[in-house]
Amino acid sequence: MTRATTFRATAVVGAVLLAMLMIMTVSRAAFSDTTSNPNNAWDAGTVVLTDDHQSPATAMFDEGPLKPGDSGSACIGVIYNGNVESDIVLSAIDTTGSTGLESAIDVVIDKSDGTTCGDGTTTPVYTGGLDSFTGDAGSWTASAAGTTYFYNVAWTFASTGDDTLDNAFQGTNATAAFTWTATSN
Amino acid sequence: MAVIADRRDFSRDLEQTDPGRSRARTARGDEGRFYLGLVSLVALLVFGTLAVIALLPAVIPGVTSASITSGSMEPKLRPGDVVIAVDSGDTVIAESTIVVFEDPARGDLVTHRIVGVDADGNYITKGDANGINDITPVPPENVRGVGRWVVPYVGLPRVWLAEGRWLALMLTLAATAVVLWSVKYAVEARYDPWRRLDGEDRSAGSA
Repeated sequence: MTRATTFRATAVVGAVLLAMLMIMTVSRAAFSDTTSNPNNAWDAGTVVLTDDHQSPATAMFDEGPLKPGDSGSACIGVIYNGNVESDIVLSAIDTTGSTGLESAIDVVIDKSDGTTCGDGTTTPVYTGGLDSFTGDAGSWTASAAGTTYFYNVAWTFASTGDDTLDNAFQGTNATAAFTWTATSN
Repeated sequence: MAVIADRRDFSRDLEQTDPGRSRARTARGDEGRFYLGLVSLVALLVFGTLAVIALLPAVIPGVTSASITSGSMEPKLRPGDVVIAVDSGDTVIAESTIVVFEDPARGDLVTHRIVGVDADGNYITKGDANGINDITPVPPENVRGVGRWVVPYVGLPRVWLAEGRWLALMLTLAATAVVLWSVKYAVEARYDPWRRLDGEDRSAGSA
């Protein structure tokens, strides 16, 4: 075997072994440590969403007693705290726990990219019943922490136009949990 | 003494070439060129092996490879890693296992950790670096496999392409071009710095 062939053979065997070693080392680190606490890793590349009603967590609304025709609105800031490009949508309005009034509440939700609701560009998010949310009309994209959109939630206790039907809502209540979701691109 | 040893080592070369132009040792540049080629050969083989192993699941039934494109599993899995997952059949997968699954909401492949099972038997999943669980529970039939191996780096160009990091892409492309260009210095016999000079008889004679 010539000197060059010795070098070549060593390079080939060494390179393939090195690649295998890399795979085994990284795999061991990733998969063998299954007892790791999955909640502590706030490293680079996170998607974190919060709103300005946290700490302490407070509801946007606490209304009542209501009669048909009442209305109101609230503004909530949704803040993206991750650092990878993500799409953010209002993903759910959960009315679990309501006792009937949810079907009489109509909401108009829009979002603004300024410093508060109605500031900057305002775009529609959802218009319809509180209990029949079908999805956000459009997502927004954030890649830097601190990007905030302000959601204005305007509600109306709409009269059905029929007193008997309206009376059926007496004493009922509605609770709703609004959920925003950030999904990295 | 050294001179005599040299003469004996290369006596055959000396016999066959013009003693005046004798090249008992080759030019230093030839050797440097060979080592450059050797480095390229190693780089080519390391990344070639990684790429082949990352792509192998495409032809093996029951094995899936998934490219990590976000930091949701940091620090265990980083963007650019390729996870090779093996189908675990109908067995129930234990909590805290990293699985590759088809996202029921979006249809693309996601690699996250199982953190629980809901009442319907669907897996609750979560990225290690994410603050909350994934919104949509994952039906067992959506799970493509359990993560077994990680092939590092090979998915990086794809991540860079998606993120529009053109400089990194261009540098990678340039490095690849250099490697492909210079690997011949290590493999082709005519660049062998220790080649027997009788192989060069023709050029020596014609000069």
